[in-house]
Amino acid sequence: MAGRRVAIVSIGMTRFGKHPDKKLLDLLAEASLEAMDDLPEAPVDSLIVSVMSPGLYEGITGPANILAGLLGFEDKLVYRVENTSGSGGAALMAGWTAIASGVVDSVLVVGGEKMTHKSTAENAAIIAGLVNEYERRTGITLPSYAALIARHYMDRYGIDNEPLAHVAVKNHLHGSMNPKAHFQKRITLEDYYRSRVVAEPLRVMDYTPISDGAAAVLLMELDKALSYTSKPVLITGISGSTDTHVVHERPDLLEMRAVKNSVEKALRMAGKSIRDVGLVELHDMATILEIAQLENMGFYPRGEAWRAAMEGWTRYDGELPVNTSGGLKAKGHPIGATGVAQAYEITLQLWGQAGERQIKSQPTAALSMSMGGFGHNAFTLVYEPGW
Amino acid sequence: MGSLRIQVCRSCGRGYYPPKIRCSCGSRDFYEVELREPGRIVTLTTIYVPPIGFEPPLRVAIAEFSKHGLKVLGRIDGDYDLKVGDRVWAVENNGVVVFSPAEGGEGE
Ligand SMILES: CC(C)(COP(=O)(O)OP(=O)(O)OC[C@H]1O[C@@H](n2cnc3c(N)ncnc32)[C@H](O)[C@@H]1OP(=O)(O)O)[C@@H](O)C(=O)NCCC(=O)NCCS
Ligand SMILES: [Zn+2]
Repeated sequence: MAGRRVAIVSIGMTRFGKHPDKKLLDLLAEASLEAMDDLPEAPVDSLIVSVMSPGLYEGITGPANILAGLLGFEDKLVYRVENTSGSGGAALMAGWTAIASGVVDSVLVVGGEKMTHKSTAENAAIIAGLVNEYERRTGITLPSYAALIARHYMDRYGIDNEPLAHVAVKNHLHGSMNPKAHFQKRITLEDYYRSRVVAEPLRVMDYTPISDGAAAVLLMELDKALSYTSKPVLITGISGSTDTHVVHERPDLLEMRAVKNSVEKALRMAGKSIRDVGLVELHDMATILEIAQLENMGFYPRGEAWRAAMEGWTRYDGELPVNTSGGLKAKGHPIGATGVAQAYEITLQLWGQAGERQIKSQPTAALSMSMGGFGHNAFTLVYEPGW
Repeated sequence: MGSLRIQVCRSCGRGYYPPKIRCSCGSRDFYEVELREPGRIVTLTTIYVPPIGFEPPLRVAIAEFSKHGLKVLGRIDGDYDLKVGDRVWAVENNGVVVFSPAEGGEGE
């Protein structure tokens, strides 16, 4: 892709977790200000806001306009982007496109969700709103789809819960080193097995929690960016792909085609191969999804990624660090924030500012994948250090 | 015994439940057919944390059929001991497909 190049120049993020005293707009504003304060001289031409369900959670319509008003933005390009749990990835795509096309030179992409004031059952109902109407009538939820896929994977490849437990232990270890994670405590294999079954064979410790939070990144056209920062993180590949909306229409339930195709297309655009990628943030809404996604992305052959966390390959100090932020599992998943928070973590790592959880290698390329629904609609970004 | 009314694409032969407006092959020409064969359970789960409006434990499964490349998500409402690989009948009840054992359960 010739022409205008797009880079991340600054980042901001609230702590993820329970914020009983804050509303969605407080969280979005906090993350936005942190990103802006990082580079106070940098102009913001556009504001793109990623939120899934502000209407159902807080009765809000038009959160992008409200935020623009609070931040004193006038005469800007402002809108909201929504792609369920992959809203953040879609918003980054919108921001990237606005800059690459020449419409604007800079975009503040901010995502957030306020969820914890609703009960788990109310959250399950709101989140289940993204599946097909027929599927919803059966009582299925996204967490229970993960359980159906886990059962299938276990049967096909002859594993039990242990590899899943190791994904949870690893991501909690990463979360314990991330001061912005929802859960900052390590767990043991015993903690995993002691946790309650949510949907057979998966337990509470297999799942992402329900969280409040927001994250922001400031995107800028590269030539402009170089007058404000010496460490722009380039987005050199970006793509999206969809699978069938009704999950049981998929020929192979373990093949996540939206994930696979969006990764392939984003890598092709960046002129990279999967072997060049040395850092990954993916959508581990449930532990089994980290395993399935690593296989579908092409990092491991089908039926083999379950070894990765057990062997320590995907730990922050391993050969392919995955979800160093703690992932959705431990960092949390305020839905609209998640895809943007992935870009936040990759940037922090490439800048070498990830503190205790800083990866040991210096990858030439990193990848994030933000997924709407149950593999319904995936967005993949490829990042490279621009220095 | 049981039968399920499904939608089949006249152009590529692919079967759907629930129905679609347009097939992935591009065709909008469908016919309906009664599926009168048992399917086989591919995967199943028992849900202990359902959304509001549902009582736990809630059992759901995906079954696969030999015709039209069809798989269907449905519920196991009866007190049957069903597992992956078991043959099941699928019937629609109040807009939801429910599965029951196809063998050894002939008293249905
Ligand atoms: C897994 C899940 C069902 C657990 O909910 P729950 O049983 O109601 O749990 P509670 O909220 O009552 O929490 C009980 C305790 O377990 C802890 N806990 C809750 N969820 C947890 C999780 N996923 N991992 C680890 N600990 C968890 C909480 O910290 C809480 O402790 P506290 O009371 O000290 O705060 C819920 O977190 C969930 O639905 N997650 C999936 C969300 C989802 O679908 N997101 C969208 C996906 S795209
Ligand atoms: Zn067709």
